[in-house]
Amino acid sequence: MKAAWKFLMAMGLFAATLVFAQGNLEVNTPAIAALKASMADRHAQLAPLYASGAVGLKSDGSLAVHDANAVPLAQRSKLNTLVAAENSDRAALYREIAAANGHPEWADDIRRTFAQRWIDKAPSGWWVQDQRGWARK
Amino acid sequence: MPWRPVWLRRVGLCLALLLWGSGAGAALQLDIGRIVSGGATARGVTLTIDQARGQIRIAHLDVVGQRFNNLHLECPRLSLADGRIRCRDGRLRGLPALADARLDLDYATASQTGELDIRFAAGGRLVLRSGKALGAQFTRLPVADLARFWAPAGAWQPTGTLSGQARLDAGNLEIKATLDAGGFADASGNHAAEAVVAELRLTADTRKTGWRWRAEARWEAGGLFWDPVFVSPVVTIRAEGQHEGPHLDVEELRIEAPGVPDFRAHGRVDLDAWRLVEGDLSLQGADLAVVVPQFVLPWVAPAQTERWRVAGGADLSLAWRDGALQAAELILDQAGFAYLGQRFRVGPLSGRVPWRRDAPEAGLLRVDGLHWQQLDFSPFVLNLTVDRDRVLFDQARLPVLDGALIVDGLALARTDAGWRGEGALFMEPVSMRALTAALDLPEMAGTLSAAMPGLVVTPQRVGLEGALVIALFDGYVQATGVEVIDPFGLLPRLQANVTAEHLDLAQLTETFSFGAISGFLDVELAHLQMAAWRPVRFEATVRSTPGDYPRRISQRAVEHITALGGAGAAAAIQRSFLRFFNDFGYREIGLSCRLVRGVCQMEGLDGPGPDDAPFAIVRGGGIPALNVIGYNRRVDWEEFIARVKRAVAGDTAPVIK
Repeated sequence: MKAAWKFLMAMGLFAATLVFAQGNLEVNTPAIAALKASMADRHAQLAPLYASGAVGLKSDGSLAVHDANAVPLAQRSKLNTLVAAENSDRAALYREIAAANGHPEWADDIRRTFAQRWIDKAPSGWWVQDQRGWARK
Repeated sequence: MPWRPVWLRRVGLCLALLLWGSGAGAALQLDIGRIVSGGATARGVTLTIDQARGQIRIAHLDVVGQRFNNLHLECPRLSLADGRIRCRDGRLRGLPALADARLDLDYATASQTGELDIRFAAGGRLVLRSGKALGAQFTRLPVADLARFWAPAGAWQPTGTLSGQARLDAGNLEIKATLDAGGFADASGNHAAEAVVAELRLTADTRKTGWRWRAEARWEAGGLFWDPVFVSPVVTIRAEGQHEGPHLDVEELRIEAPGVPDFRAHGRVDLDAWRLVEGDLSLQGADLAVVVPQFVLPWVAPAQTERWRVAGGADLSLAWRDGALQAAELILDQAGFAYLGQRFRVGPLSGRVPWRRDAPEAGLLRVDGLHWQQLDFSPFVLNLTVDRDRVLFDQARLPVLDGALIVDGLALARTDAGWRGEGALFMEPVSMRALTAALDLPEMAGTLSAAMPGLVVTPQRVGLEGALVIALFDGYVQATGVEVIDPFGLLPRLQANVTAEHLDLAQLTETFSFGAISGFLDVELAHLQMAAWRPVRFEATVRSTPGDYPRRISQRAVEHITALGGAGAAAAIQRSFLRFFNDFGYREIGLSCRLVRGVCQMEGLDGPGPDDAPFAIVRGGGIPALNVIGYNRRVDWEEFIARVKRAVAGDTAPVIK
C-alpha cells in the first residue's frame, strides 16, 4: 500500500512543491493520511484499468472512464464506482491540503498542479485528456 | 421477399414477349407490373429468362413502411414450368442485408403458394412459406443481418442468432424465438449486453382495429449494462395489451427478476412522444439488499456504493396520470441501512411514506434502532407529512442513553442544489457518566444538553446554529458554529468554536489521572476543524479562571505539564528542594496552541515570542511557589499527543525554578 502511494505521490508532489514553494503539499494531517490510505488501497484496482485504457486521467485532476469496453460487462458498474470514489478522494485531498496549509482558496490551484503532474508522469500507453480530447501517451 | 399476388393489376399479365435476334439467343421478359400482398407492395416487377438463367427485377418494394429500390434477384437456374416459378441458388442485389445470402424460390402461380429459402453466409437459414398462411422458420439467423434492415440498429452492433418460427394466418401473428449469444454495444461501452440467452413468444391479432398482443420473454443467461446499472438474469416478463395508432396500451405487465419477485404495471404509452401517459406500477416484496445496491446507489451515490449495506423489504407503487407522476407510496418492511459497517446504522425501519402531486399525505416511520459512532438510540417513531416536494416531520423524540435528542419541526425540501433540511435540535440532558461510558472515555460527572434552533442539513453539510452545552466539571463547555461538512463522505469534517468556563481542575485532573490541580480553568478552542474526529486546525487558549480561589498544583501534575516539553526539556530540568513537596501554590496557568499543518505553535502566559524563547506555563504564587517553563514553542501535534499519553502513564522530571 505504501509503495503504491509513493508511486502516486511521486508523480505529483515534487514539482507541485516547487510551484507552491510557500505552501507545503506534503503536509500530513489525519485527514490526508486517511485519504492517502484510501487512494493507495484503490490503486491496486485502478492500475490495470489505466493500462488497458478503461480509465484515463483528466486535465482537471480527476479520472474518467475512457473506454468501458476494455472491462468485462459485469465489472462496468464497479468501474464507475471506482472512478467516482477515486474522484471523491482526490477532490477531498486537494481540499485537505489547501485547508491544512491554511489557504482553502488554494484548492483549485493545487488541483491543477496535481493534474498536470499526474499527466506528465503518466507512463506511456495511458490515456490522458486535455483540451483537445483524449490522447494516448 | 416472398409475395403472394392477391391480385395483379398490370394490364395484360402475360404480356410483353420480346424476342431478340434469332434462334438460340432468344430471351423472354415478363412485365408483371405491380404485386400487392398483405404487408408488401412490389412495383415495376419484371421477370427475364435467358435459357436457364434468369432475373427478377423489382423497381420498388414497400414493406412495413420501408422502401427498397432496384432489387434484383439473379437466378443461375430459373424455370417456368408446371405452373411454377423456380429459382435455385439465387443472389439478391440491392439489399445489403442479403448480399451474401443464397436464395431458392419456388412459387406455384395457380395456388398462389410458394416458398423462399434464404441461406445466410454466416450459417443462418430463413424459410418463408406463403399459402393460406404466411409462415417463417428460422435457424441461427444472425441478428446483425436482420438489423441491417433498420439503419439505426447498426450503431448498436447487435450480435447473436435467432431460431424459431413465425406464422401469420388471417391476421393472427404468432412468433416463437430463441435468442442465443445475443448482445449489443454502443461505441462507449456504457450501454451493452453480452451472451444473452432468451426465449421470446409473441402473439398478436391484427384483424381488429389496432393490434391485440401478448408477449412473454424469459431471459436466462448473459448480462446487461445500462450505465450505471448492471442487470443479470433470470428475468421473466409477461405482458399483454393493444396497439392502436400512436398508443400502446399495456393491460398487464409482470416482471420477475432477482430481488424483484413481483412487479406489475399497466398503462398507456404515447409512442410518438415516447412517454407514459397514464398507468400504475407496483412493486411488491422487493429485496432491498439486491435492489438498492443494483439500481439505487449507482444513481444517487456512485462513490459510496460499496460503503452501504442494505437489508429488508419494500413495496413501491406509482400512479401516473396525464403524463405525470400523480401519486407514490413507499412501504418499508424491516429495512436496515448501515454505512461503513459500524459508524452509522439505522433499522429495522418500517413504515409508510406516501406522496401525492396535489395534496399533502401523512406517513409514519417506526425506527427500532439507530446507531451512530458508539451511541445507540432506543426505538422511536417519526410522524411525517409529505407535501409535494417537502417532507415535514412532527416533533420526534430520539431516546439516547438517559436523555433524548429532540428533533423539532424538521422540514426537508427539494431545491435546485438538492435536498435541504431545516429544523431545530434540542437535547434532554444526558448524563456525562452515561455518555463517557458509552464512548469509552474516562468517566466524567456532569450533563450534556443542547439547544440548536437552526439545524440545516444538506448532503454536503450539517450546520447547527445555536449552542451545544455540556455542564461539566462544575463549569460548562459550549460549542457554537457547529458544522459537519461532507457528513456522508469518507471524511466528515467538523467545524466549531468551543469555549469552556470555570472547569474545576480538581475534577478534571482526577478524571484524566493528571496529578492534582486545584482551581478553575477557562478554555477557548476557536476555529476548530476536525477530520476523522481528529483535529486539523484550531487556536486553543487555556487560562486559569480569574477570581479568588485556592490554587495548588501537585508535584505529579507539574511533572506532566513539564513532560509535554519533550525529551529535550530534560536538559533544563533543575531539581531543588522543592521536589520534596507534594504540591505548590500557583498564581496562574496559561497555554495557547495554534495548530496548523500538523504543528502546534505554543505560547505561554506572556504571549508570543521567538521560537527559541522559553515561555511560562505556570506562574508560581504562595508558598512554596514554582514556575513551569516551556522551552519548545513548535511541537509536532502527533508527537505532542504521544507526550501527553506518555506523561500520564510515565514519570518524568519537572522543570522547576
